[in-house]
Amino acid sequence: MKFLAKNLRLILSSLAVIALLIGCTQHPDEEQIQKLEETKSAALSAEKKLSEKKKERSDLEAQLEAKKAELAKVKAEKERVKQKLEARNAETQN
Amino acid sequence: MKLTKLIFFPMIILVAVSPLLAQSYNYEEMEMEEYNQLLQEWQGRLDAAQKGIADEDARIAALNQEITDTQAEIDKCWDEIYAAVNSSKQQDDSYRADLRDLRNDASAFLSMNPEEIYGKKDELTALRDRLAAAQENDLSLLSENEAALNDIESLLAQAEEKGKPAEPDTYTVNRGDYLWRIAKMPDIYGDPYAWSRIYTSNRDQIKNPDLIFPNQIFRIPRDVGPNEHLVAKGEFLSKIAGYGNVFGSPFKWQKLYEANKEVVSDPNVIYPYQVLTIPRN
Repeated sequence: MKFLAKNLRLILSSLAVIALLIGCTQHPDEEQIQKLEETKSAALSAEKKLSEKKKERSDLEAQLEAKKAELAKVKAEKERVKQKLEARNAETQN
Repeated sequence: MKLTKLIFFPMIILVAVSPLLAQSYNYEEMEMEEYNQLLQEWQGRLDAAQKGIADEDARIAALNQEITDTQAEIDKCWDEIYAAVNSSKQQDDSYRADLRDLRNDASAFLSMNPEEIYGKKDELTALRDRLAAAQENDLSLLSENEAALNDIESLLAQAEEKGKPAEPDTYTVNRGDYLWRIAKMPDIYGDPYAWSRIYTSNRDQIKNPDLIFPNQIFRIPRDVGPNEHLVAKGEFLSKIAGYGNVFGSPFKWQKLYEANKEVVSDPNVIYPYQVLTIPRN
């Protein structure tokens, strides 16, 4: 009790400092909160859109591969028809 | 009144706390350092995603262009093919439609019994003519058309084969007939080179293949027995002797020759449609 009475001023001033420190800690205000929420929402939306774009690109790559294969097939067909036609014409002439 | 309270109080509480639920973070306890860190993180993710979208858009545009170019090249190639066969896409479509009809007509024969097929042999012959005409068209050189024609050819062959049991197994010689002519008849073998088959199957009646008489009745064999072999084009004695169902060894051709000396005068000369006896002892 004697100790308390002796150090009461010190204890009270310490408590006041702590209370001041706690009271003065900065928290985001409404505008900042809104900004963070909007940024987060925009980022998530953009990431979703990016994922869709990647899928679209992947589909187009597959489509292009199919077209390239089709082109190779048609080129081979052209050569084949040309040869067959030459053979048929030669046969007709003979 | 109690019920109203029960419904309204939770609703009021829900409305009151909804802004808190919508928020992702506990802002009450969040310090500015943490806030700035989070804001920087989300801003970074947003920038990266937007850059990624721009990159993907560029790639998508390039891919679309490449697809358009490739398709144009494919179309050009087809135009060149049609020009080579003096035709067009429309004519090819029409040709393919004709082939489909022909295929359906040929398939219809397969569902008939042998007697019906034999009764409609003229129609079957007409289908053969249609097939031959289609084969003469240069559009037949296109792979898909060629495959369709082969398919029709196979169906017609199956129908002809199916109709064979109904064909007569004897033939009465008429004035002016000769073996070559008889063998050529569609009811008989449809191939004049098969005359030797009639000859070898009727040796008891035919002494000289150049001399046959009206009213002679010849057997027209349709199948060969288990101990017989029907010679096909391109075959020779050692090849036949080498078949698994004959002797399985080409070196045994002499055994085959010995057994068929009556019909094979020279072992180096055998004819398609000859029926050879296979000695099993």
